[in-house]
Amino acid sequence: MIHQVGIGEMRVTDSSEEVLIASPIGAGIALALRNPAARVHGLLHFMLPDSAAHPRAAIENPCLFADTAIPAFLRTAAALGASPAESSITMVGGAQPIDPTEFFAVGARNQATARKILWNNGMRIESEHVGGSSARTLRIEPGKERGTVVTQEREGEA
Amino acid sequence: MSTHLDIIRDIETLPAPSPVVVKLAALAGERHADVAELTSVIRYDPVLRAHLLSQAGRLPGEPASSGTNGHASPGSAAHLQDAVVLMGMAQVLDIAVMLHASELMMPALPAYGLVEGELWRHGIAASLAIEVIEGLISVDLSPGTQAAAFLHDLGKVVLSSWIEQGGTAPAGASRSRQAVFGREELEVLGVDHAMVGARIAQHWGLGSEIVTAIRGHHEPSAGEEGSVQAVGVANLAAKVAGCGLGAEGLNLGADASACGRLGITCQDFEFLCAEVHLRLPAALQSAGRLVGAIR
Repeated sequence: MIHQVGIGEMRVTDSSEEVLIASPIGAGIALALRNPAARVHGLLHFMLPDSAAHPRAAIENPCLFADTAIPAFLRTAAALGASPAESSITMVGGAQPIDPTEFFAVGARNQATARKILWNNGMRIESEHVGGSSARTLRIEPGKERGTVVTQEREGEA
Repeated sequence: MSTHLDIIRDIETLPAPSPVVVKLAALAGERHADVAELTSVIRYDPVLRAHLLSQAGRLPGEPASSGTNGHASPGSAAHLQDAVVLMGMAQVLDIAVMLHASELMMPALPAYGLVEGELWRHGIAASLAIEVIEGLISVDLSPGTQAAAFLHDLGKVVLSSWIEQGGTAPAGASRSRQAVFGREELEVLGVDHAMVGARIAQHWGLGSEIVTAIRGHHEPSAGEEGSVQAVGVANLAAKVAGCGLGAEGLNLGADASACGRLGITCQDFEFLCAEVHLRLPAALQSAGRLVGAIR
């Protein structure tokens, strides 16, 4: 069973049948969580770093912003038995336009915020495929150690 | 050069908008168009008239009363005039343009990595972004800005087949280096989609403000009107909100001075992206009723 995880959505499951896909991933970040011991895997796709930019939107959809989405994602995974110590994270996305002023560096800000929050929660980023300006697709399958990342340039392991 | 001329020929074979759309664009350019004149023009397009009445009925506020029994009869001039006043010139023109161009923007564009409907959704998102931008800034945008945002990538409809025919995709050229997508189009075809979109709008008689905003949406320069900067920012916001990424992705130059000239901060831009994402489902549903009306 394939489950599409759109922007501002997350899905955490202990089902061995569920394949999770986030596509397209642009400036936003998709975080894949894997915990083989608990047989839990999950995918979060957030768009922006800081809920202070739009507090009402954060109330309506906490998964839109890194600072509200990632804690909720980790809590949901923990509730299924996925402890931080035995969980690994893959980070994909954070693309941005070509902008020397970094005004539009939403992708970079997303990356930085995600790293900080994950670090504060004792999570390690095992692999990443971030930056540039291409859109990406991330596919996570239960039982597979590596996810699959597809961009315009190539298809490879996450 | 022959490719360039062939592209121009393709532009000229696209279905032209109705005289009502052209007249509305001209009235929008006048800035102070008389509401009665707008209403009299719209009455010649029954589909547009019906949709405006339907849309206005969904907005807060009752149409003003008139007529012998104290209420405007549905479809009457007074009722339509109230709808035009409620919605405003910008939205009326945006809807008129959407009615004409939506069918053209629906097909998949494989050369740009856009699935069926994605170009159209991107246009809706950009048009919505203009609505949000207008609430954020003190600069007045021309009434045609929303329509320009909807149409800004229309040039891809024409160029897509040329890219496929040539077997050389700008996306392919961009893959190996960090190059701006539009510049690759120029190198391969001699034109980019912004230029082609502007040419289409010009051919359709949509007025200089819409033409200029479409042409400049990737490289707004100092001195241009606010509508040019706004359409460029709206394009980016729509992409950050996940609409219309395709093969281009975010492989485009971004001009922060555009936000500076409009008075948009970094946080405003992120608010804009979030607001577009929140409101997009309803906007797509409303615009989808338009598409249903013309199919």
